[in-house]
Amino acid sequence: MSPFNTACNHFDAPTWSRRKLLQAAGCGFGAMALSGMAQAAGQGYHHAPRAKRVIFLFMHGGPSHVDSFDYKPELNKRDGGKLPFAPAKNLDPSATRQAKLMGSAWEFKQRGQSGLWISDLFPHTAQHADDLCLMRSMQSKGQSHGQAVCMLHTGTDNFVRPSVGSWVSYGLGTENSDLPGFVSISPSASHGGPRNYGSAFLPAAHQATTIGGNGKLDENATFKFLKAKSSDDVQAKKLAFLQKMNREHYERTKYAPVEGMIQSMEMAYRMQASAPPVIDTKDEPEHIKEMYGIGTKETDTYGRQCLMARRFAEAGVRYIQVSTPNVWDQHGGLVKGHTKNALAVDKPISGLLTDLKQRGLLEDTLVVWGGEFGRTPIIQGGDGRDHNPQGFSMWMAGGGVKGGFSYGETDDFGYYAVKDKVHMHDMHATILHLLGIDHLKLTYQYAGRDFRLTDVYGEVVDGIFA
Amino acid sequence: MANFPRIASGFGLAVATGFLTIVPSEGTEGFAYFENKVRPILVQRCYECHSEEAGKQKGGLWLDRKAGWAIGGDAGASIVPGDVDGSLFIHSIRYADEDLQMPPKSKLSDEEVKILEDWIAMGAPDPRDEALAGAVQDEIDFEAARQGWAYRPIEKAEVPSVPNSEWADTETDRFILANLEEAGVKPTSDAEPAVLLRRLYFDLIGLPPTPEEVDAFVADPSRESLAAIVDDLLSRPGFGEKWGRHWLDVARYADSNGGDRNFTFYQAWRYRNWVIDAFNKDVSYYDFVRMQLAGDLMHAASPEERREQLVASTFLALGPKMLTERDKEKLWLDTADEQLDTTGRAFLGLTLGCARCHDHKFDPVSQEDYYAMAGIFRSTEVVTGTRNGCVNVASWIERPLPMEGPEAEKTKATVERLELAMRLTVEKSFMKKAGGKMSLDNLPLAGVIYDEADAELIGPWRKSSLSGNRFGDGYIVDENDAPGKGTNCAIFRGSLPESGEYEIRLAYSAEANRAKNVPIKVEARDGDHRVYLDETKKPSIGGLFEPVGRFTFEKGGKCQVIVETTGTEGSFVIVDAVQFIPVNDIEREAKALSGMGGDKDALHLMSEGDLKKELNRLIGELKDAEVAMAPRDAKNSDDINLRVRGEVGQLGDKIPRNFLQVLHTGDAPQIAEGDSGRMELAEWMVSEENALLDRVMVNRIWHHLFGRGIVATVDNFGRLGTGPTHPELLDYLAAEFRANNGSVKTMVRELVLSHAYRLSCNPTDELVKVDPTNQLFGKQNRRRLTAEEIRDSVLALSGELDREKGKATATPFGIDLDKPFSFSKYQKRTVYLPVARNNAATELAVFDAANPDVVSGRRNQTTVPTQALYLLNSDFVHEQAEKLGVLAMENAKLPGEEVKWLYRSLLGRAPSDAEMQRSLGLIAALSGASEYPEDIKEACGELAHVLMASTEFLYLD
Repeated sequence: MSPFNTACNHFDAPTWSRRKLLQAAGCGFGAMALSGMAQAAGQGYHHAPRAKRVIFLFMHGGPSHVDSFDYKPELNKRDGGKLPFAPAKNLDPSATRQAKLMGSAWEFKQRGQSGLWISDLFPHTAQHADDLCLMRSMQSKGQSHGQAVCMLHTGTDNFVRPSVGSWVSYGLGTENSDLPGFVSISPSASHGGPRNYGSAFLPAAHQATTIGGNGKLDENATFKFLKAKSSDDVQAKKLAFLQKMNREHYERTKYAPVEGMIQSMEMAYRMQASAPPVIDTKDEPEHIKEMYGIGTKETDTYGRQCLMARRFAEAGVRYIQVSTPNVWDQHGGLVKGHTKNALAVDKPISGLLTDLKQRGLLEDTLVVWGGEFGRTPIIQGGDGRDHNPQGFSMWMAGGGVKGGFSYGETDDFGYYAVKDKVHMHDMHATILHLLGIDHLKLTYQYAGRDFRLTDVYGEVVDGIFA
Repeated sequence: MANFPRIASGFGLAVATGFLTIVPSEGTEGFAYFENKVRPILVQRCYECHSEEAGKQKGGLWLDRKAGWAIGGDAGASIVPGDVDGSLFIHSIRYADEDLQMPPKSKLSDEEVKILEDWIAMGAPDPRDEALAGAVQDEIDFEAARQGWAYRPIEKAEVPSVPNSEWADTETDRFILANLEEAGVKPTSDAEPAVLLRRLYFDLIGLPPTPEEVDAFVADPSRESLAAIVDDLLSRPGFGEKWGRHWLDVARYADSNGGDRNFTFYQAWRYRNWVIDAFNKDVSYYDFVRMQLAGDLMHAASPEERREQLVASTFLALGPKMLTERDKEKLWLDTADEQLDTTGRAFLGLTLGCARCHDHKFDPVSQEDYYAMAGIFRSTEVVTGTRNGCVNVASWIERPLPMEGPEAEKTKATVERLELAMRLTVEKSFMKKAGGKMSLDNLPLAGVIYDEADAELIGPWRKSSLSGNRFGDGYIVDENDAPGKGTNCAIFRGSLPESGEYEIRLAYSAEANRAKNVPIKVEARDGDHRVYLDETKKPSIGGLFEPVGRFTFEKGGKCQVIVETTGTEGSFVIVDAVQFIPVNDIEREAKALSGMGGDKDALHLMSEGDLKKELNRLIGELKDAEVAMAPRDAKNSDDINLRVRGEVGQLGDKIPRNFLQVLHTGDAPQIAEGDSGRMELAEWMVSEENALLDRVMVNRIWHHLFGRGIVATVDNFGRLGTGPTHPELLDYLAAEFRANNGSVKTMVRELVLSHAYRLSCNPTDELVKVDPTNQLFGKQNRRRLTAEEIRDSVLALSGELDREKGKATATPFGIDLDKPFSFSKYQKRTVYLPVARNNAATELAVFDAANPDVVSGRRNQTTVPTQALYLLNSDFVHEQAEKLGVLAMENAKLPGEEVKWLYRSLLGRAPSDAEMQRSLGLIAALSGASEYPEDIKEACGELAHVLMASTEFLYLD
């Protein structure tokens, strides 16, 4: 008895192994499974893509740009001075009355051939200066985390909309029909939680499959329900029975969703075999793990997250979110907090960039780094900074962007973006563009109108293209 | 910041045209300046987004022709010739306003700004006289729109006469049959009795019939016996549990906030149970709607009725909110938007939210309509104070339910204290941050306050923050033993917004070692005054401020308060802050204070940290109390301004509160001062004038019984919806519904007893050819079981389902519903289990339960691998299958009966011979052909698992 009627029906239930099943997938029902799977088919490219996938390194809480990627000598000079600019209008005015400037505790240096100014907060990442495309004039919406995080991931600060990865999955489909098109590694449950990787009104197949949570990733973390509860043999017998029954049901009803479910069962069965080898990093050589900081207490978690991201990228996942815990929110204790947070991610990120490059993956993988906002040049308490969506930095690397390049400027203090401003909407338009998608054309009709990721905004920042 | 009101279109045109004619024709000099200096800037920096050439007219504004800037964009005229400061154009290029900066990417150079200013100052000479193509927006033609199928009054259509009339059991059938006959096809055959019964049970109570119930109906499948079964099902509590859930989908019901902070809505369950009860009691739909929109405002004949009304109005408070929004006006408007959009979709099938930024692109809803209704919701308060002590995190309102005895007073007092604590927390933090001069007009302490840091100090003063009871960061103390004591002073120079009489109050912390005779000099309009302050006495207002007298000041005139130290040797003088409060505001302030327990409550003197603790304690105390999460009319109820492009800060005209023009042709409602207008809205909503209400509701009922609505897009009756396949039938049913006073049970009974309902899901070949998508309802539609039906029926079969009503099931999860959870430990029906926004329990999420963020009248039916993985590998399915295996063995006396039992229980039918053989084969193979009951039980469980995972179980014929 065979579990599935396939073109290469060469195995019987008792000897049915996962490897054989995988082989079968290659020649037999793989093709059949593809038909009708919303997940596999995308809308197609609008133009030639520069990148095939995105790894989004999300620094939850909002790292300070004036202490990392946006050098402001004037701010240091006027440390302790009164504000030479008006605070953002949508802020409670009392919050910034009597406010004073605070210089950075970190030393900035010029790095690499390009001479980009980067502080000592990220010494490892700084070594990749010539691959980094700094966006120093970011702007976003939302003075609080909830709004700004949703803005970053979904393009809106107050409505429920599909996340960037869902749009990408919807637009391009997956490169690997055995894996989801969108994976979120250790996403936060707060500040919108699943809405930040959800598909909202797009078909459910485009929501992220998650692994780990809240910036944590257990050694044995895996996708939900991936692990079979019965032995291979028992499961194979049951599946054979089930699929026969389902096919009979389909014969009687000719009801398309029944066929969809039959294919879904096959896909699920394949995923049980194909996903664990991608997720399991055991076979990675020691020197690679070391490069990511795996095995060292401070960097182990984010190192494993980054390594897993590379493996998903390699396996054909389109969009991979890699989240830190919500730790970057230093309203106080900035020096200590940021030092600790940067330590946790710096080496892993550096390892990821090195690893992608040496595998030739950096060419068509877009790495994006950033938080939901930056932090004010204004002091809070004795040693803290507040949220700053008015101007902050993000960076990109790989996937068709200029390396060793810096785009846009904030004012002399890093409070407002002033030159070549890049709004979060523009960032989204740019990411889609790099992937071969025109943000104006990728739309979905829902509740009375066509929606797109960038709403009615967004301009592609073509000044950063390599 | 100057507001640039949106000029009402007619008026704006007149003014603009006026300028076009009045401004004399510019000489060549002016044109030359334009050509040499101005045009290059416009071309380089503006045309990209504001020209026909670029095909962009952002903000509705053309800058490639004179008429473009004269008439302006969404925000009104852009350039006013000769009036540099009054031109919105200049305002935006100066980058003075964070919300309106042009060009958006980079500011123009100072020189460029100067050129444009000079150009406008000289009258904005502009030779570009192209006509204003496409710049004038089409107006909505309401008269025409009112004739549309969705909006016109309901007219009960004549029931068509049909030749094959014996097929028709009900009037509904005649409508269906008429369309089929017109298309030249016959309806398909009837469903088998067992299939029909399974359908009816799931549709009405969300659970399958028992094998015995199936047997009984199969033995007597007459229409009379069907009617008796229908009546029985309608009277079971399961009816409300099933149909209440349908409404909860529409009401975007959840037990947590979602949004940015996923706080537990401890009291939401009361609404959930009220909805379930309302369907079971068959409450008139009109009362049902009225109570949800305005229950808190309605007259109640009894405490019981009052309780239901308050709980029903939870509907408005249930939405997801961005509680950490720091811009509180935006929070209010977003909340109003959420209520308005939900109200529109739920009751009217209209996407009103689309009109927030501009007139609806497809439906007859103008932006003015939006703000006319938004005014009603903006005047409705559901967010307030602070939830967790952090001033940036708002909370919602809870209101005590009517109760008997001392418990009532206690709860009322606790609720009041909670609100006071929430408010004080905001104030304390506000004051701590408030260094000085600012308007506190939304706080009990009104007027203008100057902190000590604002004072000019003469002589020796020392900063201190020793006393926690202070305003702002700190205060100053005179150096008691320093030379110069007695000669120093602190001068506060006031700058008041209006002329008038003000009370002056001083803040200080009282102690025995303070001066009893601090001399204060007040310089007012009528000259200087001298008063003395006793700083050993505790200040009377909030323990912080003490009035020293009332004085009249002229705006821009003399206004000083000087705190001196003459004659205070041997004691300290404290200067913390000076408050100027308009006398007119004192009463308002006192009222605000007394409304919150006055300033006597110990809460007033608590530190911020203690307040936070008290806040949490009170929230904990109230989570099980007899309170409802309900709205109330806001104190500042009023019409609101239209917001240009939906931006909170871009004020347009004030729009009188009203209902939708397309449905309401009469006058705007007379809303009494201080009322929100919700009561008026509710009455209009259920009035016969509003034909959409009945159409939308009967269509929802139809959708649930026939798998697709007469209007397939049940939440969208607008132009982007599908429109009705059977408009006459829709109106016929709507009229029936109205005639039966909105009885849902009557309508459900009418429909399930129709012949159309009983049809098989399998079409005839002829139907497939003529009507492949079943637009004519010539057959029934298959559907997947819902997430709730899957879980509930499995639990019912394994005998574990607890049929008692659930209550506050979310409470044990604590203050938020962020932690992952599953329902594995619960046996209640799924409708009673917590719905966590952003964090749906696996059982719900996997099978497309409604997204509680939005109105979901129609659930998705996705097919994704996660479902298959869940069916294969989840604990719940495995555990339940195991139990069913045991039960199957207990119900089997002979081999084969266990198989039969499983098929009959799970699929509602007996296995075929081939299936029996196959099943016995599987059991034998998995038990190793064992004879031991234990092994067979386990193998039976595996068979049960397979049947539960089968498509036949999942899909309802």
